[in-house]
Amino acid sequence: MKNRKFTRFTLFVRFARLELCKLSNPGKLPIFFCLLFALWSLFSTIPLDAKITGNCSNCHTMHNSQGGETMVILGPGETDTAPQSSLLRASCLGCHSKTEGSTWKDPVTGAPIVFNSQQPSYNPVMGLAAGNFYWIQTEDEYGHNIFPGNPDNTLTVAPGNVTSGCGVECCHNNLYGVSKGFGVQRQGCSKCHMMGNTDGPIGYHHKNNDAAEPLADSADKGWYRFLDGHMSGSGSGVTGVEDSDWQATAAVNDHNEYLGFSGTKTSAGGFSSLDNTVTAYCTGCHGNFHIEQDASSVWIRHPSDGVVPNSGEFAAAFGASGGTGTYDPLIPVARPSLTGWTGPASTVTLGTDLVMCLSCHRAHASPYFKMVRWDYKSATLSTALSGCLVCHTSKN
Amino acid sequence: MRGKNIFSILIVFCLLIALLWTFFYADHAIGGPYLNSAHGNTAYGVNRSATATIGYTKGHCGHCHEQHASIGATEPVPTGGDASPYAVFSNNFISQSQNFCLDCHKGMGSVQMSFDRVNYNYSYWFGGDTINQITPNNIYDAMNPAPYGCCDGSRHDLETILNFVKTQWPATFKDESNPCNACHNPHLSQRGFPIVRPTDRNNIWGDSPGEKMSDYALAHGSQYMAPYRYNSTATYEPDGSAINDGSNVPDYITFCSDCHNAPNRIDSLASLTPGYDPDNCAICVPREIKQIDSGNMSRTYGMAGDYHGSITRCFDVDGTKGGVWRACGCFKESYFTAHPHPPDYYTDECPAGYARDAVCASNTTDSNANGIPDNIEFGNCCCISTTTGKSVAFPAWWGAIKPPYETANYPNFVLNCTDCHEPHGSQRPYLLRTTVNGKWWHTWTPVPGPAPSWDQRFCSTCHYHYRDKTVSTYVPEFNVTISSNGWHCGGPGSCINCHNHNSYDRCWACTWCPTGGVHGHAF
Repeated sequence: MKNRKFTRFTLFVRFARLELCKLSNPGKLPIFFCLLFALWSLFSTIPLDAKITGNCSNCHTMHNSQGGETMVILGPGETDTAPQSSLLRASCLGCHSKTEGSTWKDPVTGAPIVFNSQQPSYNPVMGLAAGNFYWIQTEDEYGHNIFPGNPDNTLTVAPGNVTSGCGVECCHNNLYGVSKGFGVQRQGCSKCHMMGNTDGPIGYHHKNNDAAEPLADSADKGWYRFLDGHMSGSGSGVTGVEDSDWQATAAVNDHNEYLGFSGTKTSAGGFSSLDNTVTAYCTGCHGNFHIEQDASSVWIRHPSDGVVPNSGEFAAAFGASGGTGTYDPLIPVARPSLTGWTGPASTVTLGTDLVMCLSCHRAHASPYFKMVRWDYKSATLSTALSGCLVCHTSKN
Repeated sequence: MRGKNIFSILIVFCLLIALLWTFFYADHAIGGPYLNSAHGNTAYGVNRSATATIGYTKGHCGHCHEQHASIGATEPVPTGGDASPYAVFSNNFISQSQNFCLDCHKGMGSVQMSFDRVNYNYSYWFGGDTINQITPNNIYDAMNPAPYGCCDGSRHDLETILNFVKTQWPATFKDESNPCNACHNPHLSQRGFPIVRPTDRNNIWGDSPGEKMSDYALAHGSQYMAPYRYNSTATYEPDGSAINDGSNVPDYITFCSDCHNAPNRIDSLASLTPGYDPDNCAICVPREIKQIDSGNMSRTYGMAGDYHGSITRCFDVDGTKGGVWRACGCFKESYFTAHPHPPDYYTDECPAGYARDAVCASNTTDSNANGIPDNIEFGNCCCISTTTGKSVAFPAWWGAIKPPYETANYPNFVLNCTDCHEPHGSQRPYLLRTTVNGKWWHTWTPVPGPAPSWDQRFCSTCHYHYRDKTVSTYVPEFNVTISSNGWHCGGPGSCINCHNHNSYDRCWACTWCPTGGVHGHAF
């Protein structure tokens, strides 16, 4: 179950990648290393490091000047070539975006591409695990609105938000506005990623979360996708097992793993009550949605971090028989514990695993209404309900 | 080569079967239970206006369930209130008029965009009365009927239902449950087969072999005869076809008996809505609902059951037993002279060879306190043969049965619940239908005598009453010919005072029944 796609090639590939970085000038790339690169591409399922490696100049610049040109890498729509904070060469989007739709990983920095300004075409779901911000360029309802010039036309505050007192533009209220949080001006991506609990952004890109240990469960490892909160100190972050290619490819045994926690169903959640789960993180802005049961323990909202029962119609969820179903990357579940996990499991254990926010929604954006993972507003009813039916098997 | 040909033929055959299946069972090929349900139907399924505007297609779960008690940070209509149990868009149940289901299934103010099929009552859709049953035209109105008269009207009381089912089946029904779910499953019920037993929530009732009225009749040694469709003497309920054996209608007896059975007498606890004359209807007393004991052997003469029609096991459809009129008690003194005839009350006026029943005569009850015992004063005592010591039965017209039951002439009728009752509500008591056996209750041919009560009209859609027949029979013991001409044993009045479920101990209707005991079934 926990055998990761970690092979004896790993050290070899690491070596190759190191040499590639040293010889970042393409003109000097020997044939040998080109061959290595080709092999690497061929065996691209070999795990990658979340930790940034390579030449410092890939990301940083001392003077924002090289040969009379600025060194800032602009993302789609960006025009500001002024020096960036932390001597960075780009904003988040500068590194994590492409102006075409076929690239899911930056070939130089290895950064996952979360925003293609052209429709993503590299996989069937048209995005990585969290989706792609391509979809919110014209449809506010398709994703989190991170672009500074593109506030939501309808929402003035995050739906379900129960946090108050942090200012109109604070992270809990919206993502497109600019606010100062934990020492820096935050906008868009940095309102969720790399929060830290002290002044200044935490350099999670340099944390030692590598392929040998894909479980990100601490600040030392940069948490899962650098999702760090501040609710209760340094223990506030998201735990997960990161897929090597961020689900550019996905299969029953090729996907992220998420932590879940079947705790309170009557409060707005948060790390203190929901452990280091991604659902806890979501409740930072959408806490009201986690008030899921009334005093009689009857569901009043759809569960998030609720155990999928092994009874009734749910006994057949995920095609289960005898309580064990097949993992579906399109409808991911959370595990009650990821301790010791080194890779994905291909099964869903009913009565144990949990439905969570990400079971239905993509974190960044999706091609569909309300960031849902399937076309919830399809004119074809069976398509609209296709995701629901994975668990609600009698509603087919 | 030959094997190849056989293989090809098999392939073609299988494809042909698949094609035919798709053609004939297109509805069932759509999907599973929900997508085949009325709510999940892609053509006419649930379609809340507010969510349809968002773009949810017909049948979408989001029309009823708001996963986060909101959509886009706002609450689609209907608005207000806290998040509701089961994530439905309004409170599941508050009262007879405030009910999640009725938010859509109502007339004015419905949050459903439109109805492909109007929710008329049973008498409209299955009784075929599209003339007189155009109202109620929604479930809300059916569940909240406008009483026809003072303290009239009845409804399946939702609070009573919920209290009953959550007590009876606590694992299934909770405080937050919707009482409509006692009979329906919104994820399963189909337009043609809307009912689901409270004891079997995951299966539609009435759509499968073994769940039809013909099956019930067969299992209980009975025969079912469907009532006429409205204004027809050739077509039958429920579908207006020539089928009348119950093979096309659900077995509602089994369905209803899940709740209405021997240990459970479910009285309506709801205060009835005063009728059109509030001055005279200020207080309406909740009605007692008779216990229906489907396991009682004494009511159906050798077969368990408590259903209307069972009296035919004892008597023929013409009201006789083997051509002999049924007894209505015995010949009494009063039949031979006018009473009272003071001052000689005590003279035995029985004919020669007969004498007043001494036991009866010894009863001293004197209701008018005039010093003359009632039985003496009113001639109530039977004339007993001085030779045999027995009385002579008094033959009387008991009311024959009208077509199609008369034509069928079954010796063991059984009726379906819905042949007489509306499932949701009625302007009349006891959920009784106002179009029965092809006739609207107003359509009644006047006959001599007092104007009939509404229930006499109701019953006369299937039964001849004393008003309808002039009959006579010769009684050799007394050498008299009895011309009943409207005689009804027990006198005129409201039919349902004597004839109701569980009325085995009322009247004298089955005195002659060999296995019925002294007082048999009068229903």
